[in-house]
Amino acid sequence: MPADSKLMEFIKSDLARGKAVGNLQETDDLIGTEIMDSLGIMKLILFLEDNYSVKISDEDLTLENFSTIQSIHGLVQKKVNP
Amino acid sequence: MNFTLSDTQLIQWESIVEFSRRELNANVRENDSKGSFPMENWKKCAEMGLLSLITPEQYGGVGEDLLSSALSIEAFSYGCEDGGLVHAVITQLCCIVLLSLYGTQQQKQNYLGRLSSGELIAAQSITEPDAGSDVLAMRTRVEGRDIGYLITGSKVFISNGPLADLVFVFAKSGEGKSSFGGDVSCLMVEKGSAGYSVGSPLSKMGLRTLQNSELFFDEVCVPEDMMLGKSGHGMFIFNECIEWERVFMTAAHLGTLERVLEKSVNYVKTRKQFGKEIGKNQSVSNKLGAMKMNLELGKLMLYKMAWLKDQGKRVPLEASLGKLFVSESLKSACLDAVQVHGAYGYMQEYDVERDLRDSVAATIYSGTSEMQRNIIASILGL
Repeated sequence: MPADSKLMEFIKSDLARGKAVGNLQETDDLIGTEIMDSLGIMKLILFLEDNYSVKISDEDLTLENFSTIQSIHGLVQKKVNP
Repeated sequence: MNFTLSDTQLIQWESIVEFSRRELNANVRENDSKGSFPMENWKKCAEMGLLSLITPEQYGGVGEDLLSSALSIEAFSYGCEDGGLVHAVITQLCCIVLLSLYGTQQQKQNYLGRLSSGELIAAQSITEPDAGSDVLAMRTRVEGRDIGYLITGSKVFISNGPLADLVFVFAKSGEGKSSFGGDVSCLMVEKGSAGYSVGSPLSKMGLRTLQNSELFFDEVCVPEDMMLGKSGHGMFIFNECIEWERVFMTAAHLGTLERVLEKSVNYVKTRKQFGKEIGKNQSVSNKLGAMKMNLELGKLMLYKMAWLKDQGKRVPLEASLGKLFVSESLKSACLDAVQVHGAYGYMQEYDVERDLRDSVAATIYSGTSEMQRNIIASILGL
């Protein structure tokens, strides 16, 4: 299932802003490219909780869940439709 | 929206202020001069329940919500003139937060009660010579071993370090610098562990009764059950706990600010020059007006961030705004307090010079003012 445009737009326009990442794809590695840093993940969590009415727990904070836009989308979907 | 404090909160405020003034202010100037930690006063704070404010009741604590705890710390710092002691207590509370939020039942059973009673003193060990604001540049390493973990590296400026019985150490595994922070872990190390040593207390500009030092970890072997939270979750633990720390620190800064304001008001109403109180001069009274404005604004910021945390919210923006505004307001107020006291303010016997020296640190620890501005800008999407 493709990630929704809101999430894609946030990552492109906020987290990836000013970083030389080219045309960001859903499967691109956000951590290896340093798009997702320690402040970035905090901002992303706030964004997800505010926009999808989900609660991101400590258990969810794994590299696997936050490594790509696709995996973030998957996490949100699991939260929204458990 | 209701701004009324409960009767319990008001009674507790009065009780802590009265206790602090009566018990904690006798030898502050002398201890500051010698750089001595007032251990007797630490014990009194523990007996007063200041170390157990947020400890869950099943572990012998008061189990207060964060807003009530913030009010208690504000009252403590308002009544107690020893900024170093206040900082030491807050450091202990931060470690209790770490353990309360992320500790296993066994870890809590082992340490929470003794930390809350003051029997054990704790320290958070994060900062390194080349890793201050840039936490992820830390070099202290943790490696998994059959018997547990091996920690190697050193830390610096650690508050409560020379006294600590239990140290919460943040260390990295893996290679290189993970921008995500997914290779940072938090472990507990007990005093006396083989390979663990403590440097001499560091001399400081202010907060001199607070004890700070370097900590050294030379292949310190830590059992598996001393890992706090999951391995690799250190940065998430850090990000959560720094919000609590900024609430506590902001509360303490506001307490000091209120005390400095009252002292300044009293002085300018009694000091006369050219036949009138110096407070009648607008160049003096404007300074005190600004202090009062910042105090009231700071309280609104503090109570909002504490309330939000009590609702289970994340408050990175509010915590940075509050910490930045109140610490800078405190430093500015202390400088103005020395100025309106004139030459008396510059003398040690009037104590406002000590508040000024202490206040400079407020804009440095728990994230410098520059870092708070960076965080705020980043959250704004800049």
